Amino acid sequence: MKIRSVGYYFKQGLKSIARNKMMSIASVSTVMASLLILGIFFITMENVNFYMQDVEAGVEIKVFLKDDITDDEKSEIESIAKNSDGVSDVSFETKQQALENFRQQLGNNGDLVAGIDANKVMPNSYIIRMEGPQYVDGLVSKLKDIKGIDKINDARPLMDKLMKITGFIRTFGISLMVVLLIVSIFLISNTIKLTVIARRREIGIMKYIGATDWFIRWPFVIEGILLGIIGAAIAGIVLSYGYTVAVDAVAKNWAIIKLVEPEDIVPYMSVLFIVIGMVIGSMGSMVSMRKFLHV
Amino acid sequence: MIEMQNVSKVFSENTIALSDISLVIDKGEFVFLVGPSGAGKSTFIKLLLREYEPTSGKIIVNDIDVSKLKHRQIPYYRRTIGTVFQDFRLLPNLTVYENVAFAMHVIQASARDIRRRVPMVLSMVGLSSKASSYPNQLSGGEQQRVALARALVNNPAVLIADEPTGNLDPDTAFEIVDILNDINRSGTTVLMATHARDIVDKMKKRVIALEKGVMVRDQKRGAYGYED
Repeated sequence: MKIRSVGYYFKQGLKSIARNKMMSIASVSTVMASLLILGIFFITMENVNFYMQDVEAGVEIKVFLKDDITDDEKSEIESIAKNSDGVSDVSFETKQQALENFRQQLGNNGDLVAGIDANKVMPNSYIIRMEGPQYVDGLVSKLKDIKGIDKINDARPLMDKLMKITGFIRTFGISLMVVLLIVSIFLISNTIKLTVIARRREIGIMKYIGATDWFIRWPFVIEGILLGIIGAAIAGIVLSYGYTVAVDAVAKNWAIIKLVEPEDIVPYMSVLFIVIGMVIGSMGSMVSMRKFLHV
Repeated sequence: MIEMQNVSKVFSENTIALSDISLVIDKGEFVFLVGPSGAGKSTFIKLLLREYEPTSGKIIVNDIDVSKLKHRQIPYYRRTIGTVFQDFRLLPNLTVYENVAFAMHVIQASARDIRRRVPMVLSMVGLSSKASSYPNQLSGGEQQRVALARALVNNPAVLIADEPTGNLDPDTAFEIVDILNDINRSGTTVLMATHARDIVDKMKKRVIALEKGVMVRDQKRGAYGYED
């Protein structure tokens, strides 16, 4: 690729995009759609992973107590907990504290609990922090026969469920994405095919004059890459903006849900998108050239 | 310069386009390639341009064994040959100047060389005043002169003209042949495939005649020699 021809390649590539407006828009749109889906899938996975790490780092067992629990039973729970392996902290949460914590988790909607009587609704509980999920079973089996305990909640069933859901999201997302990426490549190759047909005469002349294959190919490759990058950029901007708005809204209304900060995802995602856009675009032009441009 | 050794081109079992052609064209010669339609003239030219590969035999142009060229070497080989066609093959959306410059552009010549060389070639074919016209504003003869300028701009050693006067009236045809003759005098080997009996008879150049894929005549200072 000689530097002096780069300007020519870009000019030809841009001209073709302008000439085949409708097909170019269709190509850009499918690239955009597939990357939007990829992005949503990517953001979801990042957040699930973030949440799982959070859960694993601070495994917590909540032991809800019946109202008629005796002091003996309480101290038995405390001593078992404190002497068990892998316990880092044991604390007692009263009904009022529980309600207050719940109110804070509701964020802006905290007013919802205004009229609630903590004594009637919220149980007293022990919150036992563990060093890791592997210690949970041992402790739960020691505690479960104590009469004054109403219920023991630990995060494992939730994590199992999350794993299943993420597995499903992953399979579904990847299949959908693969289909859309193939459609994108196909549409880009069709768009470029139109350009090849429109320039057939010129290509024939170029071959007689002694143009190398790559001199003929570059404008088409650039056309494809530009289509890919434009689609990727639109998808990237839409998702970055959308996610930032979503994170703000969630933080205001559901403080309980912690999301990955946009600045931890957006730069990474943008690079990924641009690379994928370029790859789709160049693959699309390769497909069309192998088929339609016998140079 | 151009040498064919027992060259044959067979397309399928029953279509033998060229059969056992052997000839030598020296540097600086002017050669007419004549014969009725379907005699193999086009195949002959396409073999020289390495659009086709011979089925058997050997073609050597400027000491290059054309049949042994690798795909990626073909463009560089073609740069040593200028080509003009019956239908001119100009790009309609480019001016005369741009059409000629395009040929230098394609082989990635520098902008400086392009600016220097294009006006020179345009004046050689007498089109300096039409540099900024578009092909559809020119007569057929002028368009063919643009095509000639484009073929010459990269200084080829050989000029191949495939029926260059086929679309032109007789006077204009002679103008084109005169330019070809000038080009030939300045040292370029010229090979012209043609049906134009009057031109061949008048020029008294070497004539190679093909018939049904066979070379039937190779004559110095020859004539067209057909009653068609």
